[in-house]
Amino acid sequence: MLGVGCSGRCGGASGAGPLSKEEARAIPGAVVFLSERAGQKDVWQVSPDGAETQITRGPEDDYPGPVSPDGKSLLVVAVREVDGLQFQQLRVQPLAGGDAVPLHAPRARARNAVWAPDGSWLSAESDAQGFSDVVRLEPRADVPEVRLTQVKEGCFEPSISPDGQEVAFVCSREGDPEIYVAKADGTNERRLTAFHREDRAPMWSPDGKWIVFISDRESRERLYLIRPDGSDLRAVSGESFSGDEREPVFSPDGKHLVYVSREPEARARLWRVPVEGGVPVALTDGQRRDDMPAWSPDGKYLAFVSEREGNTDVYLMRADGSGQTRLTTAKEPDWLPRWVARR
Amino acid sequence: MHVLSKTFAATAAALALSACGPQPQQETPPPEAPPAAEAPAQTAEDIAAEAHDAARRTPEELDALFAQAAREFDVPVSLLKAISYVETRFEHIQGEEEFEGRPAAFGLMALRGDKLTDGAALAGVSVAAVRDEPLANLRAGAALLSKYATEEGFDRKDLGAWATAVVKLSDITDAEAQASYIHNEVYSALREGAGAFTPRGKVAVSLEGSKVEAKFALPKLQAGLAALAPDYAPAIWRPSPNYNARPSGTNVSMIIIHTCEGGYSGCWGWLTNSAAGVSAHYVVNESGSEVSQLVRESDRAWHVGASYSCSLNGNVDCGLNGTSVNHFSVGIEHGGYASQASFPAGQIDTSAKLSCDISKGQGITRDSYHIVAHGRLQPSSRTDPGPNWPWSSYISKIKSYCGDGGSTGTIVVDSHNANNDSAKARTDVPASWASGTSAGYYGSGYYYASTQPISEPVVFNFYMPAAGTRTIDAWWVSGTNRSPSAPFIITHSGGNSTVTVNQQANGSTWNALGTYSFPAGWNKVQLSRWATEGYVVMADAIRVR
Repeated sequence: MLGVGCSGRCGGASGAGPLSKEEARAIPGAVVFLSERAGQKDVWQVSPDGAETQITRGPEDDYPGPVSPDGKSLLVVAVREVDGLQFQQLRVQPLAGGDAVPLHAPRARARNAVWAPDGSWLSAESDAQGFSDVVRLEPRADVPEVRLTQVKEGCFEPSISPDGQEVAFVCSREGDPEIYVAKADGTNERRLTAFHREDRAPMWSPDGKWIVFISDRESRERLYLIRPDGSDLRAVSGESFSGDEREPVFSPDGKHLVYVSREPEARARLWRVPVEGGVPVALTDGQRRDDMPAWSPDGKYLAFVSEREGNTDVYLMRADGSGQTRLTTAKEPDWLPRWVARR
Repeated sequence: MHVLSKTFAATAAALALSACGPQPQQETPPPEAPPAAEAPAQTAEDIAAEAHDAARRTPEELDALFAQAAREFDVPVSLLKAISYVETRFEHIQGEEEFEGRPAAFGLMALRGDKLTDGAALAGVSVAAVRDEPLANLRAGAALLSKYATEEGFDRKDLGAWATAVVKLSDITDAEAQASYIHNEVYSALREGAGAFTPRGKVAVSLEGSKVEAKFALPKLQAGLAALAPDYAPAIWRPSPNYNARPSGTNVSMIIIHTCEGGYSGCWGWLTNSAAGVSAHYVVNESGSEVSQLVRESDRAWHVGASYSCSLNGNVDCGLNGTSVNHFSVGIEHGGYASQASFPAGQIDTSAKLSCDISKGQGITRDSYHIVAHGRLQPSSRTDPGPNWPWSSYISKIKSYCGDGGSTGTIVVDSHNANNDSAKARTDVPASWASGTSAGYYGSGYYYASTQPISEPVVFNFYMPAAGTRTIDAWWVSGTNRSPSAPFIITHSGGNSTVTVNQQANGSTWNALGTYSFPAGWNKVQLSRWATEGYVVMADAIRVR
């Protein structure tokens, strides 16, 4: 992997220069993101050549969730405050325009939602019936949600397997968070991890062969890979640890992981590592905050967030770290990028 | 205590460690192993870490700016520095609103609301400059203090007389909080001195300690009353009227971590004011030397606006009313700001002890799903305690103080040393044992070996600071090729005991081997491969409890 990416001297000063307009225009997809340019938080969309359109508007704060598998809809978490009380609501927003479909009445917490691969159902964390359950809900209005877990200490952060048959999630019933997998109806639950520290935030690889999760078992936050049967546990960064690790994202072909390491002075750096094992390669120079990576649907580009030019903006680069290009320009923060697989 | 000399000495030590310039960040050792509970409150390492943290917060040399602002407005420079130290630890902060109705604070002087605009007008600069520029911020603060001095008509050479002006510059209205702010914070800093270095090791700010007493009413509360706090004995009880009852049958299940977006006295002063309409159960001060309890844990404090009230929503889903975060949580405020670059080690330590105590009393699960950031629950309008709250070490410290697999109680010895705290757990594995990862192991995989008439054991070592009686458990992955009589040899005060277990059954759970007396120091449990041939024995993990 030597010579690819950069191990200390790239980022905004990369010699490769930004992407040309022609190359940017040829990228098959668009990026939805959260923008604060209107005062409140709204979802916007930007094409790789920089054309921006507003997706949601209105007085509430709208946080972009995952894009539906068919690329036609976006899950939005709408948040509003009334007299100091906060209301959250999961909504499905058609990206072609039109009204969002609320999935439940506004309530205190509804978060960490994910789509099933066929787009017919979603899983999320819900406090509607207990402290925190993993639930199954449908992308339509007024369909009651189904509890997949019922654990007093709470279950969290669902991730649906690429075949839609299983859900990985976290439960704290042992007194500390452990990773579990159950069938998509909540039955046949099995525990994957056992350690007296925190194992959390599981996510399936696109080929279903791995689950990546965060653990502090070495007294620091670190990413680990494990097989869905609980075997072959290993640290993603091998011997090359560089600050607390977070925000892993699999490439669409499942062969690479990009993740963020947290550096001192509130700086953060993006790394790429082969899932089969190997030394991580730095994609950004670690001089400022670079985080929230998101793969383009073709696996050739990454969107990410950087503060390198003072503002918080969405950037774009090739998957090897070259061609780092500012994509949004508003003075107010633009963040939480998510790819849509269409122009 | 001499903050100045301690800070300087510790910083010098920290600098000596990094004399070769910036340290590479890759492959640094794990940053923060939880301290042994027996360790003294502040080790040299802690002090060095604190000095390093302080340097991160004060990137510039500021002495000249303080002097310029003080000279221009005829205000004692030591007073400006003491206020800045108390309010922001000499950090030019970008505050946020934490409590409804209390404007965000900005800059070295933590100016808020009207003070920001009035100070800007007096200093002849824009409000934006007072927010963004250290010198403009100091000049605005000095100009306000000077104006108050003229209004009060005291002798400007009398440092103790400035107390009334200092109170006016703050937004603290509660008389008790004012007294605490003046005597225990600002004038305490003047007496003890304070200092900060830049990350490059230059003096950023120096405040020499001097003998001075504030001309201001003394606080009524003294240390003798500290024991009266209803739930946490080390806290000072400063009851807030801003609370109500939890719904009956509520299971208190969360601890919410906040930053005050301001200093300690102003924080509890605000939260005990009935007009504020907000509260928290606890407030921890910046150094960790003091905790206030404001609301009983059994009552519902008003610290998170993330709450469902069906009366505000057409009376739909009233069954969800029980999910208000305030219903089922305990809130801890911390003097400081979400934007700050680091948190003092003493504050984190004190807060971790408090969180341990709350979690024990309320039966709260000690993990990062139950001990959470205010900003996580209220993302639309809050970010506290900010990106630099040290979550991993904070949760570890809580677990350590509570004895979860930590120094005081249970010790887990994993077969993989990367997972062990080398101060109290270590595994020695002979080279002939192979590593395996069949599903269901503890920690990171296990080691196995075929049964043969040689001992060649895996040795699980654990450290006991004092002699005591402990129960030993073992964990393995079961399977049909496992030995039905795997021999664990436990060395205890009375000699060796061998316990054979059937590793074909009871896999992926803790299995008790027995209870024994152990001497102080390193002890060992061995798993031998000397058993009936034709199987494998599996060394995965042991637990000492």
